Amino acid sequence: MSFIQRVIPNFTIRRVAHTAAILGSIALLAALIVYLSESALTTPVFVLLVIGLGGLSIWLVLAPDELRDWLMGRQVYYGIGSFILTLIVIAIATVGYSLAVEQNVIIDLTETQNYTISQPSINVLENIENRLRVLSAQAESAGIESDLHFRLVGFYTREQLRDQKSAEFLLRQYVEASTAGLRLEFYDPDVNPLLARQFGYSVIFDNTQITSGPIFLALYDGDQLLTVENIGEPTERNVQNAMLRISLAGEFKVYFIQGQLEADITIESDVGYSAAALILRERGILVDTLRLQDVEAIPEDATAIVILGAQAPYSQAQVDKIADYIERGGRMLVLADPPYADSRDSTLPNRFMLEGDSFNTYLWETFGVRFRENLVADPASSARNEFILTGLRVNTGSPPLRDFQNVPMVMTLARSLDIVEQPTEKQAEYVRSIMILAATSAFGERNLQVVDLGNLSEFDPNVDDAGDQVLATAIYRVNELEQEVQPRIILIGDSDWLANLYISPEDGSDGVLGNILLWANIAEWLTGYADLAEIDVASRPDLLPLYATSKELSRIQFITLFILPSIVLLVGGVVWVVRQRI
Amino acid sequence: MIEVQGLVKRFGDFTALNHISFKAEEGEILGFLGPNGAGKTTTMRILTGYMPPTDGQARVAGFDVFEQSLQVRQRIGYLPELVRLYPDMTVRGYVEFVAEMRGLKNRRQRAEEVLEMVGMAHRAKSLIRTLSKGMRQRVGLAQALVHNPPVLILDEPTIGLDPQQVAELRTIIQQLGRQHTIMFSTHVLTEAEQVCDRVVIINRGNIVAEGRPDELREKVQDNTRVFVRIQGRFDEKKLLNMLNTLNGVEKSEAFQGGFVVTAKNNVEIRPSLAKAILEQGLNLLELRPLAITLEDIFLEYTRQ
Amino acid sequence: MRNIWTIFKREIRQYFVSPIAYLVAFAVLLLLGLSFNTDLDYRVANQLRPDATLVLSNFAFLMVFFAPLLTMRLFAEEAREGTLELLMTMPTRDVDLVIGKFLGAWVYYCVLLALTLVFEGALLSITNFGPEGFPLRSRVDIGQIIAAYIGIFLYGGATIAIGLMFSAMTENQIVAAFLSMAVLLMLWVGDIAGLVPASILSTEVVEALRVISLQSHYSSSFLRGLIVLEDMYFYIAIMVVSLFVTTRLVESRRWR
Repeated sequence: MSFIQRVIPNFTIRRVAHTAAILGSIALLAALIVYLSESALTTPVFVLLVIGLGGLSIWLVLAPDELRDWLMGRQVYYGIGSFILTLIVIAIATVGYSLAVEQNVIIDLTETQNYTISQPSINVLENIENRLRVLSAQAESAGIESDLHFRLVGFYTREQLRDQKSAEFLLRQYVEASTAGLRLEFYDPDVNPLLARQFGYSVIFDNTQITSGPIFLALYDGDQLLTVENIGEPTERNVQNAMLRISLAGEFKVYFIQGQLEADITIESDVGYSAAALILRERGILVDTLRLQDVEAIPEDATAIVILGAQAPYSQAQVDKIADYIERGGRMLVLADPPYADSRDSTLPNRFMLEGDSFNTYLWETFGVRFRENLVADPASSARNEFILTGLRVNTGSPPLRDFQNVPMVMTLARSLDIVEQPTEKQAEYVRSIMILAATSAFGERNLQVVDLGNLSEFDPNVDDAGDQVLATAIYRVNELEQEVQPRIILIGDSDWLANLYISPEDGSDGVLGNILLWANIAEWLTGYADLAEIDVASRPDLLPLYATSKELSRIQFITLFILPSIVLLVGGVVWVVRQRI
Repeated sequence: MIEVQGLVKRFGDFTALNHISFKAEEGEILGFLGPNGAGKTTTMRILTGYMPPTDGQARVAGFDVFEQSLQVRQRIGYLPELVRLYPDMTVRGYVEFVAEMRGLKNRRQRAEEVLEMVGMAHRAKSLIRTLSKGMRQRVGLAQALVHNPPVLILDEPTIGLDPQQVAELRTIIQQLGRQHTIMFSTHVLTEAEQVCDRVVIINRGNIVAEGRPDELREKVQDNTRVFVRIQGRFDEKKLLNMLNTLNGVEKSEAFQGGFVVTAKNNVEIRPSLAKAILEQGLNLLELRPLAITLEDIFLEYTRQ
Repeated sequence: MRNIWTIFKREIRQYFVSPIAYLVAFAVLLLLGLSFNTDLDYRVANQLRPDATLVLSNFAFLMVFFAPLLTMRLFAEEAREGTLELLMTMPTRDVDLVIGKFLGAWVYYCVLLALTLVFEGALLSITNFGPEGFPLRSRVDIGQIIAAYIGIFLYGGATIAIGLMFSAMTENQIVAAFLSMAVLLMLWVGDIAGLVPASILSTEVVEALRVISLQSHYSSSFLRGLIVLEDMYFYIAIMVVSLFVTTRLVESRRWR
């Protein structure tokens, strides 16, 4: 003993016991950690366990009184009591958290209700799930076992877990509303690259242009992926559109009329109209062309016909076929340009929809609307040319534009519409709802001979059309829902706004957002798609870029960087000085 | 009012209190005497519920300080050692804060009363940070008194005060003693002697003596000590040797220009002492029993 | 209950008479002002949409560093200065003491938070309530701002409760502040743990970190205009657990 004490001063048996106890505890802790990480009773775990128990036994043998004191002591009693109580509180809190997650209570305070799914959305979901049941029943009756179900699949990388979470808040509501086992799944595209490729996931974030994904609606049979529909960013509208595309695939068909020098929907250059057709196809709408001369009547499967910038007049026979179609509840969009030679074919002046021709007369007599022979000029236009119309006034009260977002829109070389003031009995069967007006400064230039690009027009009160220049109007039956058939017509005095240049320019830029939205709104209203996809998205000025004058900015700087901190400092200083004097 | 039974407090290996037991009756002023580090503050902290005992029991007004801490705390006014008050509060603000914590209704009035009582009414609006040590001590006393508690525990209330303040404070404590049970600690002995009804002397965690100051004095006085002052030429060493050899003398030592001679077993040594000194040819200027103060008792008990 | 109110009043008064509180407010507002104005200029110059919640997420981040400064003194200073001794010998339940101090700090935090409304007001003055004209004014979503404030309010409560816990753990204010800063920072960055390569942190760990992260419970819900029960519950649970532990820590002085 004395020898040991010489080597290690302060040596006592108690000290040995303490050291053994500490080492033993550390070894036990290490054993636990290793066991948890390997989740198996491996050799190192065993060795550590033995060391730990050995150390504690040495302590027990060498200092038996300590354990007894320790166990009997009040510190241990209260310490362990507090510790256990704390564990219980944490456990209750954790259980409560998972209960809270299950409750799925979300209050959406956003003005535009970005995260709330509306009843129409639930109806659409019901609709697709009903179709799914029919498909399943068909398969079963054919003796094929099937487990058809939809999944909402999101692809988020580890870095985007945050976005995933907020997507989850919206998408969870669909799962909640589902009656056919809709599932919500999230994958990391970096971890599951094959799956991501299968879904066609491709997201380019650096220019915020999202090509495909991150959310998809997928139809599965068991674990087998059948079809994928891109949803894009998780918004109610996107989800609903994807669901509609799946449930309405092939239901809608739009014919572009050909034969009277209409615009070509196959040309992909800036002056072509291929993008217009593409946007329809993306919505699951079938697109075809139709020559009225070749058919007895417009086919039954036509959801709508589009007359896109015709240059030649329609014959009485053609108009009769159109009238017959409308009688049957057909839907029609007419985009007519001003009757003068435009750049597309400068040899022939445009003779479509002249005042008094059979088509225009039909429109006037039946619906109380006709195209005027004018060219709308806006001397106050902010564009470089007065025939490029900006500052268009959009009537969001008009049914096709109900969820139109108030963003800039452009029309060029347009003609205006004449709308009957005292409708006849026949005309009174229809509602004429003005959709777009030119700016208040615009007028209809009648002198089409002198008007040429580059020349300035001049308002002649005796000839020219004054007052509000109607550029687009929608026509539908009074009390539409009570009618047997529901024809719908949209007349627009310009076709150029729909050219690729405006809705999908070749240079890859975004185009004019207002024009794209106008086309989408028109298509959805005419096909009846909008009646299904009825989301009241209020106009979204929050999508506009921030604008402030430099004066406003410097005022804000003055207030927030000078006044506010100074007041705080001043109050603090006053308090300090006052208290120094007490 | 205060009952302490076998109280033990250990801090790790250090035993601060080793089975101490004492009592204080209602209306009694109990002096708690001991050198620094004797365990006075520890005992008081246990009594006020600030600290738990390691073992043993303490009851205040019939309530266990550990099990019924809240009831005990309601009945105690406590002035801790080196009163720490919130420096950024005003005197009145602080006393009113304590009054509110104590659940008093007429806080303002009560604060004014106690501040008047401790003589701090004129500084009621001052920030505590601007007060001198003595003044803080008085504010501390005011907060201890504000709810008129049955038991007052004052830890070294006079420390850091100037003599006049000390005297004032003693008067206050004596006055309070009529209605309150007061336990106060000190290492200034004259104070305990003047003020206390009973004294407990504690050293290194043990109670070494307990009793009324005069009782204690008698106890010590039994062990007679005599002070002698001598005139004439003498060799101190030789003289001390001579005195020590006297019959009945236990020891002798030089003390304040004279000598203190302690007798064995209460033997009356004064006659033989006087005789022996005179025999040496020296003049005896003074011969008297040494006045026993609490200080002596204290030294006596804490020396061991 | 009565004592909670008494302690609360004392604490809140303490904040408003202490120069430190004003300096903290000054520093926070100045930093927020700088980031706010830089962001405004950038968005106007680059024609980006306004972000009304940027000030709040910056505020929340600053609180990782400033909340410990607000809470460090609550128990650590009292213990160090010795004032705790008198406080603990008052007839007050320890839980009242803890809640009173917590509420005091939280209300001071709310005052700071309320001052940030100036930034929202400035933003609204050039958006929703800006003089109309061309180009059109953008709009910010006021509902979203309200939700974000509710979230940051709760988040603040959680940070303060955590800070308070560390203050009760040690007698050293600086240690208390550092510990709570470290913990708050970890709980804050837990939200973006996904940025750490998968070779270091597995995805399961990242997801687990997000569940306990203080930031993730407001960044994907409150800041986007949503009040989600589980996120609200999370902050309240953090407060309750932290205050419970704090109470046990304070109480432990009586039996240790």
